[in-house]
Amino acid sequence: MSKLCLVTALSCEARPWIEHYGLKPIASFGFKAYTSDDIALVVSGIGQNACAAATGFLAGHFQTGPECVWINAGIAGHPDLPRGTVVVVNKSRYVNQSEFHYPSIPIPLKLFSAECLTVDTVESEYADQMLYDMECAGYFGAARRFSPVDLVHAVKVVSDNRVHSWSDLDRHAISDLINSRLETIIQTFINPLLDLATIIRDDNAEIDVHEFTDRWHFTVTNTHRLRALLFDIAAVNAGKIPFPDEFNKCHSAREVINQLNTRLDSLKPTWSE
Amino acid sequence: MIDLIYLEREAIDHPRTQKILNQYPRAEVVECERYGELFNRSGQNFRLQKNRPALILAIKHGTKVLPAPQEYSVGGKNNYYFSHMLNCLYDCRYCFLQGIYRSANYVLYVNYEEFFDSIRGLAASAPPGDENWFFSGYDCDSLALEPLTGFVESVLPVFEELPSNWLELRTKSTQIRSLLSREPLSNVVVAFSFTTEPASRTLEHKVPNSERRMDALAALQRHGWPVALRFDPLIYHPNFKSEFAALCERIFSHLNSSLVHSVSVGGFRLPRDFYKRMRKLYPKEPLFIHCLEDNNGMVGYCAEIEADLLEAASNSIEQYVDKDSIYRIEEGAS
Repeated sequence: MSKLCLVTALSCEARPWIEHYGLKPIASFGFKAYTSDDIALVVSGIGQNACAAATGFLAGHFQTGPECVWINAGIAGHPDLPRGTVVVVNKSRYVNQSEFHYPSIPIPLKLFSAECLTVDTVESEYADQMLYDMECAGYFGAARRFSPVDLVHAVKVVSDNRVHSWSDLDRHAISDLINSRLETIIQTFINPLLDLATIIRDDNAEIDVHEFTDRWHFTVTNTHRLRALLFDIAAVNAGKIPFPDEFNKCHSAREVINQLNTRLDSLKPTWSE
Repeated sequence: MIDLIYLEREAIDHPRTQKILNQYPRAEVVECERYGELFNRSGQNFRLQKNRPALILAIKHGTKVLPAPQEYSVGGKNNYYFSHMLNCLYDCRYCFLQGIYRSANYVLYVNYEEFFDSIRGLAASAPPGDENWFFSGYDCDSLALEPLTGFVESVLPVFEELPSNWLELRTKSTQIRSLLSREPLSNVVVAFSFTTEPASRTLEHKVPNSERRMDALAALQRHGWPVALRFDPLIYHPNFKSEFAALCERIFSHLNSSLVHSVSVGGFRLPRDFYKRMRKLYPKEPLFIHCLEDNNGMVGYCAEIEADLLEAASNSIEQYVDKDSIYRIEEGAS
């Protein structure tokens, strides 16, 4: 299951990530996607609708869970910030809508942060002091359905401003620009988020029940009950769960469930510090 | 440490906002139209946000001061509560704020003066002779963020004007400088919360340890402030009786017990929906697994355990203070 999902608009924005994490292409329809054991990346193409669709594709294809960290990584324009500035998006809106999205940033913020306006055509006026991109709002709208908003973020590298036009940059220059900021983004933003997400990952780790289900016939409902009971027993018993052999006298799954309930009730609270 | 501040548009020009922003010159400031755009929206994770809460500066609209349930009374006829702030610096695992809010960010309503007008209005409308109590510290700790908010410093002159009305400041904080730097008020009670040592060590995260709280309590009493004790919630664990007796012994060795205004005790209980949300946030927390039952939508210890806890606690406390000063809180949320 992926721990980190990356969404980029362009292949040249994706290339530094693919190389850094050693991602391999997967055979897929619709979007170019790449993966390793823990990381998945999709190239959405330009525009907020394409980005929303690609985000949904990634979540569905890789069955991402709520512990997954999502990052929309790419370039953006800003009136004044120097080319190469790394900016975390703290407020996002699509140009034709009035509703804002506010990403929640649950880690110390070591990077510059700014509002991002998602537009339909390349921006060259830079009317307000904010980032301009073409995907962010669509990405947030989709990705926040799959993970808590605290783990769904966009990080932009300023590519153009009033002094340096976007038209100066070819795809190699864009890759170089992203590549030059990759370590900063990973060390100061992505890794702390991944560390934080382990809280949810650890709590959602499933308990292996097959030694019980191999021995007794559990219905689907009773399998859920079994898993929940073993989880609770582990929680109050310093992580230890009973062995199936302890229930040898039980003739049915129902009896095992009853025995486990009794076991849970008999355990006194033990608190680790 | 606050490094991200959300600022409601209506609060921008409030003098208190500017003062707070000046305290955090390096914080990123993000403007919003209304704080509800980002606070408590679905899809947020309280536990993750607790790692680094942001500050939201906002204006409180609507009713500022609400009636408090009678079972929370410590002897007053009319009881009210108010929250100038939502959420707490501390991270107590039993705290119902985790169940109420999806967001752990701190919301600070900067229009204190409108709270004070409501308090004055309620005080003026009460029949003569009625004792009115105003409880602060329901949705936040009354003192923990005092260096940031200056709320207590602002509210005390209001109660100086209203000597027949009472204010309770409920806290676990040792931020008592603003109280020690002025003359005490006989109608303002500083109420400190305690749990037994094993419960405190394991469940009260980021909270000053009980020894420091006792020192603060004693300093306030020496200075002349009325003080009170709140043992709410009582948390069940092995050796509760002896641990609670030891806690009382330590606390009352710091205090002149005859001057303690009141002591209240209450069991651990939560509305069902709060409990479910907290259980989901902390699925491995033994507190939410052990010995609890659902009674008509309130989740708490089974009647037998709760009665034992209340009985043991009351017996210990009665060794130090008059029985009439002990209040049992048996309904509502922890």
